[in-house]
Amino acid sequence: MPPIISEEKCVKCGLCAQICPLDVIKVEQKRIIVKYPDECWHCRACAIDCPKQAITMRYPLSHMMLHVDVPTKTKEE
Amino acid sequence: MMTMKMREDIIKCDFLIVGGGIAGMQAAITGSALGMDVVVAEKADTRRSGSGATGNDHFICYIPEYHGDDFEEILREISETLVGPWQDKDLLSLMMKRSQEVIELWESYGINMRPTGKWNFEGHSMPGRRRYHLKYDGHDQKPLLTKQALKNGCRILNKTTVNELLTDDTGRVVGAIGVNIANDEPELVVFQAKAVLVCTGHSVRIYPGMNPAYPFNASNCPADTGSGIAMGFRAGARLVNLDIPYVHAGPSMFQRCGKATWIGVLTDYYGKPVGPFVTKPTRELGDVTADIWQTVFREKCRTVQDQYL
Repeated sequence: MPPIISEEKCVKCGLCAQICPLDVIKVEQKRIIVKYPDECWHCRACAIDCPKQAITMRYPLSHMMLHVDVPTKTKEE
Repeated sequence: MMTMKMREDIIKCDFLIVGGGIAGMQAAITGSALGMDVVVAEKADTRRSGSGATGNDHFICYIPEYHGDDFEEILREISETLVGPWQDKDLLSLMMKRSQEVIELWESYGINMRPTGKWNFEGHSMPGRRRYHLKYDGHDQKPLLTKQALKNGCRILNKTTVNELLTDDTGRVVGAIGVNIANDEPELVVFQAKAVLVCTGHSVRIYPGMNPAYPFNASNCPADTGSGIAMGFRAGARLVNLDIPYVHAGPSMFQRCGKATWIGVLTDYYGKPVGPFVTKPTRELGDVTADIWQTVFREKCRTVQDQYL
């Protein structure tokens, strides 16, 4: 499923469009869009590299079903 | 109708590398360190392209200081786990002999191969045997390989897909034709090189996946379409090892990622451990049952279906 690019946070630097390994993101005149949403591999390169943290991922239901947030603190902490 | 312009100058070099994944970038770094004039043509961007995209965390290797000196026994043990049976033995032997060299190079590029401070081998292991999967911090492997290649003077042409190799009258490869897709109007690019290395990775999209919940049909980069192998074939290359498939085992209807290095106990429909190796989840061993019994998922599901029929 395509990642979401926040229009408020995006400064249109174009890095996401440049580095996407499947070239699914495109810089249009007014904004940056995920032009080929079905080709998203969910590698998160765009979300990781965005200098403004403007991108959030979305995953298909099958990826979400077994997803568990691993706690960052132990019980003792 | 789409128009295409043509780049006026021919890009000339000693060594043209088609594909800027981990293999291509390593070849670029090594070639340039040996004094060659190197060009990498990569259809995405070498900082995140290919199966190495957003990182790797383990590397199968042989470290004499850790594993000992009996290389033949070690090769045998490695062949008995994971996709060991599906290997070209000569390539496996070569890879294992030189893996320490690769680790030292990667450390020199700033890739942290020892995040805990010592060699950490975990997963895919039989209890009591040596372990071969080195756990490392490769989250920035592609950016660091890119940085080293640029430092060595490599020219990287991103957003440039190579489509055809060029040969002369004797059949010798002399260059390639590619397309720069950086802008709305594509640009044809011609390369001339003394040698060409095709490093385009796996062939992932040959057929659609069977499972609707399994995007594409593999966990490797879906942009790895096998076009490099096809263009080599068209240029007259002899293809080898096409009879050795890229195999994985995993539960049906789910993304395969997570089978490879996972911590758990493989159990059947009734909750009973299927393999003899672990009874509790351990990070040191994983559960190697599915690595060596590659039809386990199919056979265990069939058993349950038989029961109901």
